[in-house]
Amino acid sequence: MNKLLNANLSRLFKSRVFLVCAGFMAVYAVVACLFCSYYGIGVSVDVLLLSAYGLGGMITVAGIVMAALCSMFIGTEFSDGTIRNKLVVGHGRIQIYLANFITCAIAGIVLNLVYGILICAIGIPMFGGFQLEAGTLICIILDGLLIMVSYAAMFNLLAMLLANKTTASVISLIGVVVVMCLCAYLILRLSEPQITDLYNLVDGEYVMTRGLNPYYIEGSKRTISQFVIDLLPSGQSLQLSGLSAPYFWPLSLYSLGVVLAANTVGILAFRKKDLK
Amino acid sequence: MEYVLTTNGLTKQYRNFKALHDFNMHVEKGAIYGFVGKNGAGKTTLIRLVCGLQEPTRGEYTLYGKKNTQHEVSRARRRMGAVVETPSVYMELTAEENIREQYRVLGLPVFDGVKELLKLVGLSDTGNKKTKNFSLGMRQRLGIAIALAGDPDFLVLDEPVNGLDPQGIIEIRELILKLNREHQITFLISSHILDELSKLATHYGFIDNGHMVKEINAQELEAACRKCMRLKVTDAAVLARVLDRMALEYTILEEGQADVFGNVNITKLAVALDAEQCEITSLREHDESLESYYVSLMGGGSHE
Repeated sequence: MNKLLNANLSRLFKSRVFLVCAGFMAVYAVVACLFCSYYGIGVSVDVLLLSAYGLGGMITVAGIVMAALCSMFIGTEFSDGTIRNKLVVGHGRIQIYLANFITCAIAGIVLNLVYGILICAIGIPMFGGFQLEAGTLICIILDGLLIMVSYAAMFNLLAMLLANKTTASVISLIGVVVVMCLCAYLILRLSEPQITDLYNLVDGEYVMTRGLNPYYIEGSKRTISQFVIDLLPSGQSLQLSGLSAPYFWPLSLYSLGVVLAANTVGILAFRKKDLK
Repeated sequence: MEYVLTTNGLTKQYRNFKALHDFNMHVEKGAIYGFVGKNGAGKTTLIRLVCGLQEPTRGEYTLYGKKNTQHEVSRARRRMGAVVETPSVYMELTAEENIREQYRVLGLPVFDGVKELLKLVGLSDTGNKKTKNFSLGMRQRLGIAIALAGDPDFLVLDEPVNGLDPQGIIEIRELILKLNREHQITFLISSHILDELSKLATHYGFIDNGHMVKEINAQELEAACRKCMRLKVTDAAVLARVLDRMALEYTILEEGQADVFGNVNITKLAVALDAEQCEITSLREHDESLESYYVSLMGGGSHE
């Protein structure tokens, strides 16, 4: 598998899609710092660093970038037919699958590093150092890296099984946007307070009372909703960017679960797949 | 007899359609095996199976003595290269980068042979031109160069001259012959262009509806193809009368032309025709082609 990884990484760092994604993350980091500085927004470097995963608590930047990168990079193997060159010379399907996953994961981590290094280089002189405790910060950074790895596992799965660059790109991007909207909605609903101000129209005038919030999710629905946003990389991204997760350390376990499940399903299906 | 590839009862089924059915073939070491069949006969399916792109539904194949069910077949595959359907090249890379990429896939430590390979396939002057800007013939040659990167003993080419211009066809043919003669590479070539294949192949396999109809070598094919004399005369009726009198087998073609089979004494025939005021306007030896052999084979069912 080392041979395949060497070949993949060599191609990755020359590929236009990777360079565009890295450029985008670099520009995003610079613009985030300059924007906050220009408008005098009091923001900590921690928050800027976590903006890699979510913008405004809504847009999963990392997810969209990874969807485009993985589907196009892996999809090229199928559109150009070069995956045949690997199979013909005796490389196993499991090795090919895992090498592609690891390449996507490394790409995700590198993109994360590009963003993080620029935020530190520009953000710390502008806004001061980190404000979170070292332990929490390390936990969050680890979560963030694992989110990138779980994105890589999911989009690699789609690209390898769909075996078509265009289809994989479209489905990955639509999928990440749909899941992003679902997660943003669930996070919004979960953040609703249980008791809230209620306004009733009485004799033509609004009367405010305190009562149960109709938008508050409770019971098993709340547990399931929390599980969904903890499990999905997009949900994790948004929670991380908004520092809204009840606990950060379980997110790493969820990410590892996603990576394991996606790769197991992907390998089992890819082993039996008829390629052209 | 040493075989590079044999298949035994190989079957590939896609839902209700059997692309290959109980298929048997034998590719001898050192051969240029011409794999002939119409569209949808199962040629590419066989090549996909042999290249490991798909798994057989039933049956087995053996590559360099290793069955496809054995783990060691992966090692045997390292001795082969293939160009299946379209050339497998990264469009965003240059020719040299493509070959270097394949070197990395193969785990070759140095890139010493890259320039030589480019020279061998006539692409040494492509420089920084990306593959997406190559002509089809150039891509085909690059595909062959990539297949040659691992210094294979067995090369599988699926329709290698499809879509090429006449010059490109000649170049690919000469390259195949050179590799076969100078590097002792065994070839399995599927092609529709029978005339072109007949200039290369030392062995033939004819496939129809997923079955192997016949395997034959070039000498046997030559013997099976009847030689004849193609005559053009001023009066076909006189020619027919004379040939009947001389008890020769013949076929009258259009515009006073006829194919005369068997050993013909040209002097006697010319004298007999002249006696009836019939002139021979042209005369040449004519071999039954691979194409007509193929047509008669496929049209007439099994010739085993």
